[in-house]
Amino acid sequence: MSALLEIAGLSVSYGAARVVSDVTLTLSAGEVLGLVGESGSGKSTLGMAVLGLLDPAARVEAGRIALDGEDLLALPLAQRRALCGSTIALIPQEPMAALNPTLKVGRQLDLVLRRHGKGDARARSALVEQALASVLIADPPRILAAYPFQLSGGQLQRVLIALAFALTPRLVIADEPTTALDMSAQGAVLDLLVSRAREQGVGVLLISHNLPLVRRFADRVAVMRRGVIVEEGPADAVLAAPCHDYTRALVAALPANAAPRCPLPVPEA
Amino acid sequence: MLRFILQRLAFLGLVLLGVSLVTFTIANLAPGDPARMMAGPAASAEAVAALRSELGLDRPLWQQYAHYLADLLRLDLGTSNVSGEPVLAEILARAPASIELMGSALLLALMVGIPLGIGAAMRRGGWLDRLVSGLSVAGISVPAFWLGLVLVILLYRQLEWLPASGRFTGTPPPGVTGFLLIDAALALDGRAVAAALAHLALPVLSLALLEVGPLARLVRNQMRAVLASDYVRMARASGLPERTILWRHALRNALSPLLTLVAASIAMMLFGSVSLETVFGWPGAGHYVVQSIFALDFPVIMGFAVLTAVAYVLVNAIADIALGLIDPRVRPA
Amino acid sequence: MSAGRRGVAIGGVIVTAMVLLALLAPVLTAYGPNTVDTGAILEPPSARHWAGTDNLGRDLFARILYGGRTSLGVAFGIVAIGMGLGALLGCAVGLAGGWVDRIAMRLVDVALAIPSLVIALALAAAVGPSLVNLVLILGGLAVPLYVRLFRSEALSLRERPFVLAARANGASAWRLLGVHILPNIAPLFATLASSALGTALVAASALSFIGLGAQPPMPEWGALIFEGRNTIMYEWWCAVLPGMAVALSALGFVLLGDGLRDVLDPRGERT
Repeated sequence: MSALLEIAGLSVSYGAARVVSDVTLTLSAGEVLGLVGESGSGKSTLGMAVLGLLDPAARVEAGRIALDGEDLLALPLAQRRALCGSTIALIPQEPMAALNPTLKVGRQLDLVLRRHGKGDARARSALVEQALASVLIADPPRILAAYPFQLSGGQLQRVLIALAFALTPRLVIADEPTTALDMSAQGAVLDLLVSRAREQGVGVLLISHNLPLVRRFADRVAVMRRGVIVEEGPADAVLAAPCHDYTRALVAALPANAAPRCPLPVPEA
Repeated sequence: MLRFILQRLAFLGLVLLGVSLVTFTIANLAPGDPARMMAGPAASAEAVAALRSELGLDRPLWQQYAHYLADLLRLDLGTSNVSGEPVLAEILARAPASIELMGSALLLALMVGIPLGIGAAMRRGGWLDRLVSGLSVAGISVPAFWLGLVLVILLYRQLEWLPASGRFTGTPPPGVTGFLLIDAALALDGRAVAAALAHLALPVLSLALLEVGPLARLVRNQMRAVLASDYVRMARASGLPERTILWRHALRNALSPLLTLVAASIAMMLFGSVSLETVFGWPGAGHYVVQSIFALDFPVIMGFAVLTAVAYVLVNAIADIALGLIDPRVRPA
Repeated sequence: MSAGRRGVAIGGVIVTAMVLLALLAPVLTAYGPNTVDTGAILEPPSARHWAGTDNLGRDLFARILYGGRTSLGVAFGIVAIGMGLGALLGCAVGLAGGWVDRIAMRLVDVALAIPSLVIALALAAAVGPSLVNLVLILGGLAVPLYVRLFRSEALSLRERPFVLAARANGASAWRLLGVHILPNIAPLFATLASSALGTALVAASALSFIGLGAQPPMPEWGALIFEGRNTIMYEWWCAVLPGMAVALSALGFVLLGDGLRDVLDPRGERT
């Protein structure tokens, strides 16, 4: 299976600080690659680098990001931006903050669909209804007529997943998609995301610091620490029997793994 | 939505009541005996007493206030001590000149300030950014009337480009709206338009130069916050082009507080224009009230205060409601 | 140097300079502010009269320096009253909570909806123009704004752990206010005060310019501009130079205030 996404020797820095260091990863179509690490390890920066939406203060120092063999970093800005949404989609961390608070949800979805040429108003409307139904939203018209602050995080995240897949991307970057959701919604949302991806043969880069969820849903996992990949392999294997000390420490810090009545170990960041 | 409007209207009523209370209190603080002042120093004690009871000045305070409120509601602001004419009519006659001045300044400030602010937000630390910061500080520190004087010296005395006083020279166009510029344009009188513009130029420039900074700064700060926000990043991630993002998402959110600032600017300009009209001999309500201050014509001063306070409060209420229409978060759920 | 520090530095220097100039007036000039010299009417700036003379032959530089005492003093008075009372009331109301808070805020909302400078104009005209009245009026009219600002501050401080702990330990309201709350609002106070001094200065000079503040022959910058306005065609210094003093001082205060805000509260959390 040829690689959908190939990252080779990527380094990104913010001014003098090196946030991503010489990272090499591959992701195949239909595969879910988990990227785990603590806050500040550089995982989100890596995701943004692939999308081409880094902070203006950040700079790619070296490396190659190839999608289907084509180096994204060598593309002119306009072409790179054209890939956003249509080829590479984003599921953001804070769904509430990711939508314009003064526009109705339906309007915002329609704007995006129109941009990507999804037919006339009738066709777009049908597409939206179908997309919302596919993410198990019970009452699409009510959701579409609401403002973002009137809906819950879980509902908004489903809407964003529906939108992402309606554009039929090849790759989805899920940047901490469940961190802002409450426990009950987390599993359901990831389940939805991963099953849709597998159905459509879409690759998923699942960035998260929630190890149990990653273990449950990802095929492979890469562990990141201070901008460097310290361990990589099949999710189950790596998280059940870690090789690297840091991974071991991360896993040991999980409450489920703690020895009874002992303080949780804190991994050295 | 309706509940929101009703809430705002209720508050408006409260504020208008407050204005009437405040102005009534001020009017009663004026030293001297109004009856004596009106009757004149030569009148006998009985005549003064009769006048006093006629004016209702011997009744309890709350009755006087009720009477005052009733007068206000009937739009009766008293009569001028100087001219004997109704205060309301005197002020309204001069109002168009002031509105023309402030309106033109506001328009100019918006036309320059908004693009300036947007441009400054696009490139942090760029020259536009620093210009906006500088102008906004200058706008608060420089007194409007002093700037007017300086401009007169520079552009009238030194360069003789623009006239320094009055509102017009030559025969004025037929008064349709009371706004000379518009009237001149309506009459297709090119020379009149030029004359009106020339006289407007210096005072409007003085006010506008001071307003541009704070306006541009607010636009810039809002724009910056919006452009850095998560939903703008998400919009980019969804593939929307910068132009769409700017127009559909960013501007709408960045400009909604502008409404509030425009209302606040009007307050600033209200006061600035009072002193500016004095500098330029501009025949507006501000100049009139300053003359009344020197002439101790209290009814006019109080009438001016009531009128401008009410106008300001009304404008703010409208802006508030308009803001609620644009930004759904402002309304109660 | 960051923008904030630069602002504090430049603003601080300007403010200090202006205050020193005002305080050291007798040292810096041999002329008195009211010494009439009919032989030297309306002279341009020269070595003898650094800022020229006015229509009564008085040395303008001296009048500006001594006028600084008046103008700056007025500005300080206004801010002292406005912010002092406002902060006290605001903190008290914020700490008290309940119906006191609700009623107070309603009153503040109504007060803030009324344009204060117009009211100041009417008040000043009614009670008679004088400097003292000016300070009282402008100071009093500034109170509602600061009540609101400091009430917010007090509200947020009230929930902070150290305050809750103090209350749990039985601290009285006065102790809370004096020991815990007031020292923590000091940064906010300093920032607001600087900017407030700038706007108070400009407002006071504007009211004096239309005759509602300092009365002649008292030198006050706004009044000086008023005195000079009829001669601007040929004797520009009479009106322009005092105005420069106002603009420069106000600039200093505003820069200082903005700089302090950037340094003490860069993310705009408190102001």
